[in-house]
Amino acid sequence: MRHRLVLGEQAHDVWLSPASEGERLLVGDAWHTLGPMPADAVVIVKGDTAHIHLHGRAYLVRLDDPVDRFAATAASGGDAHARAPMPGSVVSAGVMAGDAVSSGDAMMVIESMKMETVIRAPRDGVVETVHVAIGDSFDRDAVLVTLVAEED
Amino acid sequence: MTGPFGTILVANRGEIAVRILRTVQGLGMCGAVVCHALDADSPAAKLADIVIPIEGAPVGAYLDGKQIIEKALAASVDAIHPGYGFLSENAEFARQVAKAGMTFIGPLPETIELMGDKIRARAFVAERGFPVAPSAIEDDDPATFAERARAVGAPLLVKPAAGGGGKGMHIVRDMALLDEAIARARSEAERYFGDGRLYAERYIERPRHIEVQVLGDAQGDVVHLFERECSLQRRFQKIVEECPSSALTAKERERICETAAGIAHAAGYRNAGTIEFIYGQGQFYFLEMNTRLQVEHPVTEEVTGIDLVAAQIRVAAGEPLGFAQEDVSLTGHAIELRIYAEDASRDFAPTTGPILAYREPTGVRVDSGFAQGGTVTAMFDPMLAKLVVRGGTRAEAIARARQALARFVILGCHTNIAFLDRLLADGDVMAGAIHTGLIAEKPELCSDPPLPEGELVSLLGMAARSLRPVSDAAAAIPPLHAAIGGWRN
Repeated sequence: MRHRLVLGEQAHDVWLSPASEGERLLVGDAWHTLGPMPADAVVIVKGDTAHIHLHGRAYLVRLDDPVDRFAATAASGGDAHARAPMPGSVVSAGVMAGDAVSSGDAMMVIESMKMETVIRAPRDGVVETVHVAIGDSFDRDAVLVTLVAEED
Repeated sequence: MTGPFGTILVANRGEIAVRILRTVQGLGMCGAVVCHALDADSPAAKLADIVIPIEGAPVGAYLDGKQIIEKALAASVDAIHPGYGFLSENAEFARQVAKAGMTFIGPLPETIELMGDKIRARAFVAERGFPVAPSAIEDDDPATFAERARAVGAPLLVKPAAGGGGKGMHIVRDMALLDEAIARARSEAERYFGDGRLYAERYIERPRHIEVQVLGDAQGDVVHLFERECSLQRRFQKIVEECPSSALTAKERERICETAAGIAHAAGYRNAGTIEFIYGQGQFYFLEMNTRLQVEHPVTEEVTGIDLVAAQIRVAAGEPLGFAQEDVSLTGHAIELRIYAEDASRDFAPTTGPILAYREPTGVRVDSGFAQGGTVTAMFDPMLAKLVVRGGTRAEAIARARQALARFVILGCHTNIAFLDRLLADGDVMAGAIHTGLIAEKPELCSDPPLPEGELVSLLGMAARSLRPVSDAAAAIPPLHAAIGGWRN
């Protein structure tokens, strides 16, 4: 059975299979015999992600569930979210629910460590929800503002 | 060996709380630490003899001097060590600690006030004949500030008078943009420091940041403990510090160190402190004085063998330093690397996450306040640990640092470990040709290099074997079918 593993921006379709000695892995079109794990490697699994330390570098390899993949494509209807590019807190909010915005409009100013960043509208629309208030903190990728398409 | 106090409270958290507690306990004293509920499982809380819970918003609790003093009194604390950041340069806190009958392990409140106000500090230093960069001070005459700043000339650095840590600093290369830079700096100054006053000074292109560690006692004696070069910075914040500086000749080292000791002496300085200078083209100018223990103090400890926290405690108790300038010597080369939870490829944006695996390299000094099972949140500074190495020469220290970085395992939260390794491998860094803008000039260092040859299959193999849905599917395949699969080769 093939599984899709995502490393960085790259997706790889793999097939792990037992072999007479150890295991083999199909990556793309080529089978590879897997040797023992390198002595200095560390692997920790959390949810669908393997966190790997190999030869002095840290990597994330995520298992891409085909059901999730379908859901993500199907649900991209008329909403758009302005997400946090980094963890931080809200300095000021310039929009409220109901406000019409154009693509590129400043909607919010956030602060992370000592940097201020302006959150801009990803496209034209109407603000449906402002999810955070001044002073609130959030993690990376948190949804800050949700936009809906403007009714014609 | 016993220390001069019964109980010392560390009014801080993270790696510096651990660092201070080690010396306090090593001197046979009782070590207490303040602790917000978020830090209840931190290494500092585990190490401390007494944990004093503090309440409020996480950062706010560590800044709540009133609460900390009240709880310290209730716990019969004799002295408070503020570490760095938080209350370390808060003169009012120092005053209230003394008023409550305890000892503040730091300088006199008046000294904190003098050096905490950059304008006063600069004037104090200039009046005594020490070198300062050409500048314009808004307070001298606010109406003509922009005009006077323009007269200093480009490139110009506009910054908050009450600032620190690179916050609110703007470089102006085109004077047409001066007014805008002033407005931005003022807005940031008001928000970060509650004080919108600014000053502007000549910006030295490709400058080096060189600072000198000093120690002064209540008897009026001051010694310097040589310099630290902290030129490798991102977003105006240091990430690599070393001693000795590869920029200074022996003669320049003597001049800059003696200047620093002279400034500290003039200020009647008691405690450990740091005089920061900007250095370029053989000239150096006073930048500011930090009246506290610095993040990068281990570098000095490694090359001088002097425990700076122990020295702070002794002089705070009124004891003399016990050694003179000629007793301080510099041996070998030390480098400190700050391990941050941040993503170099995303403009060093802080990262968060659970620490799923944490293994420090052995045989080197690691000052850390995190452990496996902890979580990096956006609440606090994203520095996870400091790796400190020593070698006979700079090249040897760099080689050791790179070996140690490769053995430093942190999983679950993206760190700058791989970036630091690329930085140390850079030709200019290896050659000591560094300056504060080096990292910004080399964006190629910030992006992750392509995966090394042969690593892809190893990584996917390790992931496939450890991710249950993949390994379970493999286990379900009968060996015969598996063997057929092999023919596809």
